[in-house]
Amino acid sequence: MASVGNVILETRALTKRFGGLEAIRSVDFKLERGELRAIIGPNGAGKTTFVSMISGRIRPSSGRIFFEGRDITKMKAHDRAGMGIVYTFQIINIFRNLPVYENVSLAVQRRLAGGGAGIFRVDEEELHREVDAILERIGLRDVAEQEAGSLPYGHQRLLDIGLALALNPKLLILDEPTQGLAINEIDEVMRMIRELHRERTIMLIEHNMQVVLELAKKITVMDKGTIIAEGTPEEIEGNIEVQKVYLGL
Amino acid sequence: MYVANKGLGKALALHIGVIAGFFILQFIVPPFHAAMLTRIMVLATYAIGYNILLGYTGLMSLGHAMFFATGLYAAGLSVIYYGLPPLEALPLAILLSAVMSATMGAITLRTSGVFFLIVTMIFSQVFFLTTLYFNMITGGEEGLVLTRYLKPISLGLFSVELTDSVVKYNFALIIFSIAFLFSLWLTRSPVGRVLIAIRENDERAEMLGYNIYKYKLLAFTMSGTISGMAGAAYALVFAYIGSALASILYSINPLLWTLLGGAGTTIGPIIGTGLMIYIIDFTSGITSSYLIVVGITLMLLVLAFPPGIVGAIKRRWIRWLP
Repeated sequence: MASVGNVILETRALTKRFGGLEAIRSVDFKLERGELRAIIGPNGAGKTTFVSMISGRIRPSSGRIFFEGRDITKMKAHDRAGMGIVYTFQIINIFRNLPVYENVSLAVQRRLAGGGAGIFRVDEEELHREVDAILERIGLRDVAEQEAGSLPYGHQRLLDIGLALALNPKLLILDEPTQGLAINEIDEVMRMIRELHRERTIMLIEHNMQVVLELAKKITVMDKGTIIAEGTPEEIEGNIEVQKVYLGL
Repeated sequence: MYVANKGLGKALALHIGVIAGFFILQFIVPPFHAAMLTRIMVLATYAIGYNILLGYTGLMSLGHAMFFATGLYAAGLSVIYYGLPPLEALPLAILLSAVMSATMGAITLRTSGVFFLIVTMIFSQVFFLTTLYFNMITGGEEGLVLTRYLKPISLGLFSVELTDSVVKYNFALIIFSIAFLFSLWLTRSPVGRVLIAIRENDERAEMLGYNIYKYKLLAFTMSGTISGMAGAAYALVFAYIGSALASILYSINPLLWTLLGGAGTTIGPIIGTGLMIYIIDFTSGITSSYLIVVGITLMLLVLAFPPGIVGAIKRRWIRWLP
């Protein structure tokens, strides 16, 4: 596990308004390096909006975001991906019409070439080696030539995570990675997340409480655009506020 | 084991084969068809340029006539008014096309989808009207003929005349070959792979850390520059420049040629251009309302081959086609 102790990500008074709706209300949040933090909350709590601002997909209305001490509030999504904040979408998002190999290759190429002019010549041999290693790791080496969209759902999810992994992120944001998967596929994805966590910080949005309790040591609960509780799984389970939200008491 | 460079040898052989085929054809076919092929090679170059944007980046422009015409007028006017020899007019035209397309790309790529279509069309119309407005210089609709201004091309010991049909043919072949081989290189290069990724799923490409705007601008500039090169070749080979070549028809033409042959294939634009030009020639020889026949033929072809002719071949039989 990476060294725990220093803050890798921080948000200050982060707010997002969509017209009259305040989707995220002044959220202060801190994440330490090496954590595997689960973010839970009922539908519409603002979890995806929150992490989308961190990954740069949407701009905050106000507030600041710091990554490794640097203010990244105004940074573009692609630059954030380049500096190590990598997001996987809630709905599987891969290059469906391209072979599995090409999918991974695109991610590895971005890391090897950087964002600039390096893109004109990539060391093809190194690229191939690394793509192969990723394919091995996500267990899709045998289907490398297949079109990604033709894979079973669970394999598509693994590929999706594999693309994120290929970028070698410092902070990996997984948005409901087990959604829609069969039980054995969930086990596979959990094994993968655990393995990824050995080397990096992870934020995990998840509805499946079994997955959350098994993976996360710390949980953040959101509701109506704010953080209503934060703590260990035990603390969260005993929290009256959380019970109210979940059980409608 | 997956081999990333699979099909490269075959693809390269195919491309060189096409070029060799065009070279040999000039010794076989009668003069009429040689002239047709000259025209096809120049216009196929235009379609190849257009295809980089439509087929490999997924952006549909309706304003490429402005780049074709930029090359056309840059080459033609510099030959007429400044007496530039063809081989100096050509690089000048290519350079101006690059500047023009980079500038236009920087503006139009701020829009997307149908807005991109309209904005590119509007700018192109402005360009078209400008060529009419300055008809004292450009010759407007009637155009200008370059023939008596074209200097011979000096090739060291001897020189050749662009008015000679053999020279025309081979000049067109060289221009075409450059664009054709460039498009093959591009599709296999790291840049080309990113462009295809943007075409397939730009949201994912962005979250992989690619600056989508920059890549689109690069594709737009490459596309416009090759279109301009084709325009310059048109002026030099056919010794004519005129506003009709800047009109919206010349923005729609490369779109049709590319879609007919197969967008996103390197061979498609050539097949599409060749077929369209021959269909038009054939039908216009039979009836004066030939455009109806052309339209019906196009519809039938698109119904039979939705991804274009080469696109369908690629899907069904030859997967390695670039």
